[in-house]
Amino acid sequence: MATDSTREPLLTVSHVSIGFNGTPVTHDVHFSLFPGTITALVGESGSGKSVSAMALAHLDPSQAEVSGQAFLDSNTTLNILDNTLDQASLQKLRGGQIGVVFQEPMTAFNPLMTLGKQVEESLIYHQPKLSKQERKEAVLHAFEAVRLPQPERIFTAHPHELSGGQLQRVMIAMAIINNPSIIIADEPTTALDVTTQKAILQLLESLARERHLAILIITHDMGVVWEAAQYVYVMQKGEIVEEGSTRQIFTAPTHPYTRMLLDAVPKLTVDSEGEDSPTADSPAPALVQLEHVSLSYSHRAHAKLALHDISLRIGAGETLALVGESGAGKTTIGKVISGQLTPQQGTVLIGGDNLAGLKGKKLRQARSSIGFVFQNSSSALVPTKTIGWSIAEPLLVEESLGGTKLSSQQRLERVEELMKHVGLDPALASRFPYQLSGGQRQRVGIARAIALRPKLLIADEPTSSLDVTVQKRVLDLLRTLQQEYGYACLFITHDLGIVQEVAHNLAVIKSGEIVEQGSVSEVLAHPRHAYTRTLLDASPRIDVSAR
Amino acid sequence: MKKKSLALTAVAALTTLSLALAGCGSSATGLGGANASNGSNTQAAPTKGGTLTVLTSGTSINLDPASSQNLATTTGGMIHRRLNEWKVSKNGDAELVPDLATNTGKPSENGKVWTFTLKKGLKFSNGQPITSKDVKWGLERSFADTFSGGLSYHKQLLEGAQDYHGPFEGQELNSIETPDDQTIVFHLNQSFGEFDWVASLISFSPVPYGEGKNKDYGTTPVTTGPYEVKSNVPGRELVMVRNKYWDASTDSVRKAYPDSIVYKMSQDSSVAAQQIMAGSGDGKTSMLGDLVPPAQLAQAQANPAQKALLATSGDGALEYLAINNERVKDKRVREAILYATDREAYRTAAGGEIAGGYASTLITPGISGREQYDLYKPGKTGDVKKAKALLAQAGNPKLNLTLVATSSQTEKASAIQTALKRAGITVTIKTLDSTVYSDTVRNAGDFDLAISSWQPDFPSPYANIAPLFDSSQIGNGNMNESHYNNPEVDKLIAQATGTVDKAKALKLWAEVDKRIMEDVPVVPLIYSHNTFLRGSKVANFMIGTFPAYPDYLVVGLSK
Amino acid sequence: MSTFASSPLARTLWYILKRAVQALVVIILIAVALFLVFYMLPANPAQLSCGKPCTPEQLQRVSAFMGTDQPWYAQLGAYMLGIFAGRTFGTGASAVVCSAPCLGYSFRLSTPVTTLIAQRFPVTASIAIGAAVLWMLVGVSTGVLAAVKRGTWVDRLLNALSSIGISSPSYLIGLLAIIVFAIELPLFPSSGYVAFSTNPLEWLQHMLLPWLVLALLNAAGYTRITRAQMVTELEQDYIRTARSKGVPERRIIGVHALRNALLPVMTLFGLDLGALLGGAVLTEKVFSMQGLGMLLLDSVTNLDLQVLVGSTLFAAALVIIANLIVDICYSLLDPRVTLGH
Repeated sequence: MATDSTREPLLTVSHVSIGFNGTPVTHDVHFSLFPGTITALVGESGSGKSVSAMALAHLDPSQAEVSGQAFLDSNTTLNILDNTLDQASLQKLRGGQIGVVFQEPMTAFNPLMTLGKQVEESLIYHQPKLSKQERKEAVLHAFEAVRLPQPERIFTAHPHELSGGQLQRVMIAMAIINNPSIIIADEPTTALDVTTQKAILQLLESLARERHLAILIITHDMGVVWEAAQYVYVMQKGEIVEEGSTRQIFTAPTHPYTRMLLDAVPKLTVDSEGEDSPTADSPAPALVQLEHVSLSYSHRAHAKLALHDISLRIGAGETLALVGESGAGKTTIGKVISGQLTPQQGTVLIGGDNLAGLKGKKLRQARSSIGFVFQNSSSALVPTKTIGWSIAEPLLVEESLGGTKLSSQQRLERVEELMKHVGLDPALASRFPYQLSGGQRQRVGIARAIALRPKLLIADEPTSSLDVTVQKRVLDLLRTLQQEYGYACLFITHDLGIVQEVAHNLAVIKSGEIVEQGSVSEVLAHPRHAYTRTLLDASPRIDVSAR
Repeated sequence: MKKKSLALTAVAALTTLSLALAGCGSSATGLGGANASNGSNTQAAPTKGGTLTVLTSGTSINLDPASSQNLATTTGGMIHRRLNEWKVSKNGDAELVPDLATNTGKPSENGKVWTFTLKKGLKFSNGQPITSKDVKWGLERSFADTFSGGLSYHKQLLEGAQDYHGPFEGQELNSIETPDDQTIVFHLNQSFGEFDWVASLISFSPVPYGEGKNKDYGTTPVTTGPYEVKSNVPGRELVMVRNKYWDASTDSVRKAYPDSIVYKMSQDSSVAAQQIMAGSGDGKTSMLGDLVPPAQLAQAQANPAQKALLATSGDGALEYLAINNERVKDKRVREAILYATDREAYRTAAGGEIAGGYASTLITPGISGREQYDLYKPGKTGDVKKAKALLAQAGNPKLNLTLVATSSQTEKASAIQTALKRAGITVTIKTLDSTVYSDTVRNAGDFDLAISSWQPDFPSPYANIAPLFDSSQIGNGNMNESHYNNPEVDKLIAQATGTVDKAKALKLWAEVDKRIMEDVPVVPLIYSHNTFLRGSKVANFMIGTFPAYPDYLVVGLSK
Repeated sequence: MSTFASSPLARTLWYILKRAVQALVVIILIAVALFLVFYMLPANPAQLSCGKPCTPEQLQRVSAFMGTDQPWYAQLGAYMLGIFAGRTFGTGASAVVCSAPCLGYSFRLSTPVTTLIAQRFPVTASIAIGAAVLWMLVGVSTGVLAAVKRGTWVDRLLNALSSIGISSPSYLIGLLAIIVFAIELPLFPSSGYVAFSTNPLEWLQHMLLPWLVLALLNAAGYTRITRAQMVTELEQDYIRTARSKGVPERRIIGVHALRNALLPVMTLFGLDLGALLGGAVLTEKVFSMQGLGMLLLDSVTNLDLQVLVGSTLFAAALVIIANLIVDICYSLLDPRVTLGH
């Protein structure tokens, strides 16, 4: 059961069942955490992994009904899951014995308070004897421990002045400052760029080692598990279905669900031949062509260029993946191609037309030949309208722009057809967005995008908020649809792993400049630019043999 | 912001009463409903002393004789003596009595020259003797541009007044002569038999010669009556205390019972009425300067103890339906309107029986010279048959008349509308903001019917009739709202005005009254009644036959 | 602008200057609009000062003296010029001088508008500031209570009370309060205003009832917005973070959630207070206090055009200044906000 049977667990959890309004969410969950060890609790959203872990610090939603036992090695009589735990013990537990790291560093801090103060707050209640000066020293020390540069500056900074990666380090500093024995990290890297993710995982690893911490990482990402954890619990529908050492789980998964999770992980297979990525046989005629495009937001003289000398082409029926970290300018390129932004320099040709020269109806037509899929499709759906209405909406807009008038019966049929194409049950047409799962909503978004048979599909991080298994299915769908509809696709992503699955060509962008482009197999096999190599290194690569 | 502006409008409507005390004759609208007497039956006898409080919604009290429009028997009367004064009573007509003067004035035979002699030994509140020069100075001041806005009957009558711009640049008004300190002679540009009444107005109060140059003189003027002004803070409080130079033996009207009188300004009428009825704070020794608001009136009537604190006037201001004679030219049509009008329904809309008595004459009760007559005898509810017959004679014109009304007149207007409908006359009601309403009826004239009301500035037939029916009073904001223009009547008015012999003049006025009614320029509706409220210790709270306001000059406090 | 961008202080000052210029433009536009509205009215303000009876000659004389015989643009020009240079009405011995800044002159009250505003503002300020402090305290504390106890009977009770508060007509409530607490149970004086400098104790006695009435009615809205903001903030991630550190619930509510929740409340508060300082019409009316609201009301009733424009301009300026102060406060309280962008 344990990775090292000679050590005693720091925390033993057993028979944990959690329910909401009488409906059970988890059933008889158990796990143990050992000093110096990172344990992963892996599963897809809704599997109950987060509630189970958060219940330890009583941080799950207040309506949750929790039963079960959890004992810290320091006090084997006190069940920390006890509902009747008094406030004082609870406060001692939180931040004192258990530190917590959350998923979204950008929103996890009080925006009005300096970071120093927020970390210091933890000390005030757990180590009341410290003087103000001692507290500050302790905070600065913790900042150094998590390898934050310029701790003094960060002490007085507000959350919005720091990057997500830096904030996550501050969060970790906050979690360890009272020297707890246990850290619970809930999807600690999901909101971060791939390079940052790697660094944070390395930090957690070293902290576990150096401070003999027991760290519980909750994640849906097998890549993260592979990178960081020594022991894994796999959770499905509220139950632990499999556990074992990381190596065991990756090499010899026994439960079908575990196998499915592993299959769904996009594999970055670097093959010197690069033959298994779908490459177009002959260069297709260019649908989109950007030549020497430069653009700066705002008129301020000191404004940085958002895009600098961008040249790229997307052939008809081809997919170009645009890869880079957040803020690199990926989305901006999408906006330039769709005509939402006009570059100050360079030309943008869509199907041979210069978008800048188009006006009025021509421009609207050009735009209607472009479909969009966004990261968060639910925000693009009107919450008070049915799914059917949302899918029919682009058709209606097209009609109002002079397109073919459809009878309501024809429209209905078209909506049904689209729903079938994207793998949705047409019976869902009368449902409302909130009644659908994230994957279903993303399919609705795709149905809307292809409703007008676009020549170009711009997909902006379409799967980054989806679970791996869902992501795989959505990527499959996009590929199938491309064969059927023949659209060209600009696929914006930060995840090199999925590039191989969907794209023919790849452009790597950094700080508004394209540093490298070419066919996917070629770039991945022979990255020329240092940045591409960094990205490749940071991508979780599951290589069982290397372990 | 929207909420606020709505509130603003609502409050603006509530405060329109604030002008009532200033003696604005046209706003005397009966609120009716009180079955009380015109005061005094249950009141204890007044004694000398104490502080009387007057609660008023008015936000400032102007005491400048030149620019004030105060009635002779209210605030201004307590501090400013004038050549003549009114003696009002509950039974007889209002009388004219000499005040500063030894008698009410001696006219020349043609009524163009009036001579007054001042009593000897009279003094201002600053101890200075009062001379004829001071009276003249006071009148001259009223011609300065800075002091316009007061009762200005004299400005139309004094010879050479047209081009006179006041005394502050060294010019005198030569038509006022002061041969000695006691005598003052007025030269008029026309024969005017009621100049003695004009001389009872506040503008005939003296101002010490050479004083009153500052615009704010009216805040704390030098006084001549039993009180002087101790302080007068706009919006807050006016305090009057005894003027030690006032000699009661020279004054036949003012009783001056209280030692001091405090006006609390900008009161909310409803709050003030509640306070007086409950007798809390100064409530027992207070009187309400405004008409009693409808809610408090109803409340007081239901409670015998509070009902005794109400005083309702007798027949007062004339409420009438003005017909625009420039638009409704056919006399038969106007007569038909008179017959079609249902005065009972109108009175019900105005508040019922106590809102007033039915009117048939133009000169109102309480004014000498009034003769009761009813030229048409339409009955309380009108005579629709006769109305229809008259319209038939007129060739059954298709009548669609516009009745302009302010929002406070809505119910009255619909009573008129319903009544005229009976005779087949269509009336369209146009509700206007009060400013626009005034402009429509008193300047522009684009209306057919309007409901109006008039209480004269002084109790004489002239003041009753001329402002409403002389053709010179059409437009410029003046009160000839029916735009009635009959040269014959103008001539008759001039004749009556010029008649010096009182008895003869009054006879002529009674004829003018009837003669005008022969043309039916207006339909007399009711003589409205006003209801006022006093604290339980306020004594001698009395409303005379004229004006329909309490006589402030005689009010006192009981022990 | 870019040359100033270096120093935050310079940027703030530049921003304030820019806003002040904007405010001035708005105020001038308001003045023009007001003039136009009242010029459209058929009534001539001179008619009210003409006297009774009024002859055409007399009306002409008064109009010339007051300047209302001029076309609107000339009147407007004279008015605007008067603000900076002062102005004189009439000529010779009876001339009336209104020195700069002349916001107009009330012929009815024989007083420059500037003086009137100076007299009335302390009254309105006493009402507004006292009431505002009270309603902020009551509204925020009940709002926090409702948010913390959401779903319980406390929340429902406060919700019901605030519904009553929001829908109550303030004039009527004021009237009732006077009848009950000043007339029937004479705990407070019923009306009037005593200057603080005259007698601080009496000032307080006179202010208490209006404060309470105004505060309780206004607090209702603040209860609601505070509750809504608190509920939103309490669901934020950073609250969970604070809990995970072992911060006691009291501090989480009172420091973390409340500070964030108060930002939008503060915006509302600034605007409400600014508007109220320009005149608490109904409260002043019912409690017989001569503040700016009554001045404004009087000027409407009496067609005192110059007072109307003058006091409205003053009120508008207060709202604009309040707005600016709120923005500056925002930039001080919320580190994410910087002025000038």
